[in-house]
Amino acid sequence: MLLSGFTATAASDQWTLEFTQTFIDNYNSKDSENQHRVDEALSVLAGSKWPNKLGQIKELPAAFGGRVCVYDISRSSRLSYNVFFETKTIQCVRVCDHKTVQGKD
Amino acid sequence: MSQTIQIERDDNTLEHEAWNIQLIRLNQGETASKGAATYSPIPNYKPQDAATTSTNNILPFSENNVTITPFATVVPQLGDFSNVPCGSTSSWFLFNNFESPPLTEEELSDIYRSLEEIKMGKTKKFNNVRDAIEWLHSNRSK
Repeated sequence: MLLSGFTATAASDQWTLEFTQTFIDNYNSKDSENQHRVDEALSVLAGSKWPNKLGQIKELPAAFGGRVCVYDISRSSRLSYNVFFETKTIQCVRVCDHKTVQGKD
Repeated sequence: MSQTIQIERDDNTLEHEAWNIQLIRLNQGETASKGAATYSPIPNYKPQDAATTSTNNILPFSENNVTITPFATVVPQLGDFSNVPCGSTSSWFLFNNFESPPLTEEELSDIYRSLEEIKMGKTKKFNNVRDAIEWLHSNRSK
């Protein structure tokens, strides 16, 4: 069970949000409703003390190394991000739609 | 001479109405009432559990004076979600144990590209979420 927003925001600090160009391009390609969902997801993550606990951890292949968190915005969309506690940074890597998540047209 | 016509309303229509009312209430930030556990919103909704009766399915009206008798308002019974923040559209997944699908090839490709962008410093940083969202919106309109 994923932690809910208010659980994780019990004692939140301010996070720096870092957007990659890929994320920005993905965001720009979405309609306004889905952009609003992404905005809300960003607010929840940035307002959380433990934003990594809000998403599910996905291991990356050995070639990439490491892992990435995915936050499900809806059934058809999810946000990939990394959390760095040392620099208090949330790196927003990607946000994609249903077709891409399901891997089919 | 008056004539009464009865129109039977489809069960599914009423259930969908009840469902929509419930979703609207949840989206408006209402928390569910405690103790009334009939059916849960997204995604375990079972049409047969909807609180509809046969009396709700008839909409009588008179042909002459054109007064329409409003049918009984369907007030859906909510499950016990009093501890769930219903106002957030991104909290939909709290209603079930949704398992996010594995990363696809395309996602991995994008993630790899993003990691390269991070290494090359091609990123945009914001110290607070409000500025970040405002910038995203302004960037889109350009």
